[in-house]
Amino acid sequence: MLVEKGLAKGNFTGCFQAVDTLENFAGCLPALKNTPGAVLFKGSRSQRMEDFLERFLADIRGAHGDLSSAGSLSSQVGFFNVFRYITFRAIYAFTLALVICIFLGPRVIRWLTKVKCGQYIHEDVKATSARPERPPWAACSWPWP
Amino acid sequence: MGGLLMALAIVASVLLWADLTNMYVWMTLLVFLGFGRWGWRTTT
Repeated sequence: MLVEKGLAKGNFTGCFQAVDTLENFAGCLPALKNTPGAVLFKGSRSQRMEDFLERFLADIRGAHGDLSSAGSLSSQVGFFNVFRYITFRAIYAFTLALVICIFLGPRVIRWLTKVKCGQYIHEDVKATSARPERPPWAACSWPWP
Repeated sequence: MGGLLMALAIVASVLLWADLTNMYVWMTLLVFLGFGRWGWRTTT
C-alpha cells in the first residue's frame, strides 16, 4: 500500500490499519483504544468517512458508560430506545413519585404517629386571642403581629 | 413530616429514572437532601 510505504519512509512507528468496511473498522477499534496519541482518518468522501467517525465516537462514548453509547441496550433492542427520551423518563419519574406517595403515604403517616411525630391542631389555643388589637384603619394584618 | 414522604418519592424517582452519569443530578440530589435534613431538624 502506498500510504503504508510513505509512513514507513517517514519513520512512523505507530499503529496503522487499512480498513474497507465499517465492520472491519469496528474490529480494529479495541486495538486503537489502548494507543496513546492522536488518531488520523484518511479516506475519500465517497467512502463515507463520517460513518467511520461516528462509529469511532460511539465507541469512545461507550467506554464512559454514556446513555447514547453504541454498546448500550437501547442500541441493540429497538424498544429500549424510548428510555433515552427525557420526556418519557420525566413522565415516568413523575408517575412513580405519585404512586409512591399514594401507596406509602398512609403507611408513613402511621409510622410517624407511632414514633410521636404526629402533628396536631391545637383547638384550645385561639390564634387570634394572643394578638394585640390592630387599628381600625389597618385593612390587612401584615405589619401588626 | 409530609416532606419526608415527598423526599422519599423524589429520591426513589431520581435514582431510577435520571441519568446517573450526570454529575449535576447527584449535586442537586445532595443539595435537596441537605435542605431536607435542615427542615427535618428545625420542625422536630
